[in-house]
Amino acid sequence: MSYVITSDNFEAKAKGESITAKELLDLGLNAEALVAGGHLKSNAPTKPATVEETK
Amino acid sequence: MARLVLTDASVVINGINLSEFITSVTLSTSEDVVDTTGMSSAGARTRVSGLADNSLTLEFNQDFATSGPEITINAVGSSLVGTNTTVVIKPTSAAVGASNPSYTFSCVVAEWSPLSAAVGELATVSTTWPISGAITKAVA
Repeated sequence: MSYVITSDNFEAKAKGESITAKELLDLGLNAEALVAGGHLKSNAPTKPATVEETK
Repeated sequence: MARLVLTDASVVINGINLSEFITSVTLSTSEDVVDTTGMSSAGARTRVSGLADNSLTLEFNQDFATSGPEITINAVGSSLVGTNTTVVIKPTSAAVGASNPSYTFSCVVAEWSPLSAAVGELATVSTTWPISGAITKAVA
């Protein structure tokens, strides 16, 4: 699991860089709060959109 | 040794630098004083230091915009309020060194007042958070 930094105020790394969940854990940071606050964006793969069949 | 007027203190909460919103920072440590007076104490109490009790008091200028105090500490869906969070403070934003030590600790975000101001006043947040465990001071 990794995240992209979307905040200018994130101290550990610069905006646009990636950080792993383990790195966040090692730094004692709360990933959920950082994502909810718009400071990080999850890199988790999104489920592909399904194509609806039309008759 | 140069005296220091605080104009550039660094306050990082859960990895986010909120220094631009901070107007006051106070890191406090006190020690319980445990009485050890016995019958042979020559008429004067004797004491030893007990447990340390640390706390952090911060005053913020409130800001509800992106990267501000409100969304960093009290975001919808995952608030830091009621959790332990890592805080790092320094006297200035410069690199850590003997004249600019860093203090790292885990705060219990025990209170948060999103709105506090009278009419015509600046919206601010004043908060005191107890610290869980020891404070780690680094000079390099």
